[in-house]
Amino acid sequence: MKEQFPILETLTYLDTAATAQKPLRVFEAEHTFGLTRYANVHRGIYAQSVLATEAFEGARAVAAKFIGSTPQEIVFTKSTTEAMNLLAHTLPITKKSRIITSLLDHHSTFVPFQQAALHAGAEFVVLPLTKEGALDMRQAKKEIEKGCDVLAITQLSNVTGEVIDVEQLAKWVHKQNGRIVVDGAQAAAHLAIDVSHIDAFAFSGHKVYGPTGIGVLHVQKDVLSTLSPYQFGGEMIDAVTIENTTFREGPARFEAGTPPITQAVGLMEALRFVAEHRDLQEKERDLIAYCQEKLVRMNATIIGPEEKVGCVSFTLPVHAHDVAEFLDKEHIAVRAGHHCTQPLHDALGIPASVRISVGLYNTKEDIDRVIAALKACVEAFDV
Amino acid sequence: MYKEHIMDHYKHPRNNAALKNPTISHSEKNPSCGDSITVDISITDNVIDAIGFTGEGCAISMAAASMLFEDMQSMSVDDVLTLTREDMLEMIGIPLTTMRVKCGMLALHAVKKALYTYKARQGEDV
Repeated sequence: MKEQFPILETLTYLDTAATAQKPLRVFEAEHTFGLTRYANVHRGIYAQSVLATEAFEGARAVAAKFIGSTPQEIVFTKSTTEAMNLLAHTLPITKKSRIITSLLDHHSTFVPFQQAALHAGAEFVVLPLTKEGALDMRQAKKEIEKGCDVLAITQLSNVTGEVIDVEQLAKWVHKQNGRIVVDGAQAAAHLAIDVSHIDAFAFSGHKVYGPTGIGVLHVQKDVLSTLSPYQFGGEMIDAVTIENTTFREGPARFEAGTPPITQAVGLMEALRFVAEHRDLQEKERDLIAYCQEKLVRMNATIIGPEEKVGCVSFTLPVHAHDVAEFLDKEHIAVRAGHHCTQPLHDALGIPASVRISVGLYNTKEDIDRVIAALKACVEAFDV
Repeated sequence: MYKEHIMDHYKHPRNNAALKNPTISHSEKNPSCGDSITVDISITDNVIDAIGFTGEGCAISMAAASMLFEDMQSMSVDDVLTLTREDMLEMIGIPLTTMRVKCGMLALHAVKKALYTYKARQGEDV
């Protein structure tokens, strides 16, 4: 595995939740495509444009299959953030709406829906956590049953590593005739995804070992057909006259302008890479459990419930930034701060935490190395 | 990891206590990392005669506050207001990454805001 990631020869990379390192095969796929098949898509009559279009649409099909969707329901965005903004702008949100999110949610979900609610004068509800730091499902049910037009929620917390039962939430939301929007940015990298009962699901290319600048948004086709365009421009139009414009149906309506073509090819290769290594996702869980056990033994305070996928966040008597800087001197990359979840850190009453997150390329040796460095750090600060 | 003087100031911060009756008090927060500081300054005839800070944060932000406050003793208000980012970086004495410069500047930022408020207030009194 590590030969696909030359950067890991000198770096112990434990920040995959922020962005995953890309395997050589993703660069090679982009390289080959860029040198031999590149052209703009959906418009050229010439053969090269047809080849590029086939590759681009092939990527859409692979992305759809990856999450159990269909190509007619897949919109290419630039990121999960853009997808959430698209939905917050286009889903019908009025003064009478009840918009629900949770304390676990990343700013990329939290803020677009908070702002949409503020703008419309809608009610904005933030689901709380249990004492253990897990999503409080009893409260969630209660709040959803009070009425829910949109529930926007993560499937896998980028801080606590908790997996959220979005299937269950979807049932409750649908009983209220609401829509469930799922932030799959972390989930897509660590879990097998099935969006059959989810109205909208978004993830980013760069968190699943693919390029930046491309994201995938699934919108269930009956929902998609009701949404108005988000951005205007070429590619998304049907007919333009001086007086007015009509728009295309389906995903094309939401893809104004030249899309990220080469990135789509890179993403396709990245998704194949993940699909081929599903067995290693089990190993990722073991690594996090192993890491958590070691952290507990050195008296770190762990955030959230014990069952974790992908990452473990914690505090030590040393400030998170000092920890991260100490580890950096040992060529170990971890995240320190609030991980784009300020409301969560406020609720926990901590200014910042350290996060260790793993990917398909991490090993037990990486965890041993970071634990040894953390021990040295605590010793150096003499706390 | 950090140089001796940083760790010394971090572990044994100077002037690390609130003043009872400060002339001016001001709090600042660095939301991106959660560092926070409250500075209390007592001023007589435009000269700083007592200062204290409380807060929490990383070694850089707290050591920088301690060092700045040590230097500020007996300085005039105007002299403190001429202190620059470069002066502060020199005081800290180790290279900081962009992310950490914010930590290093928090105390100076808070002090300057406090003193500008003080001067504005003085102006009103005249």
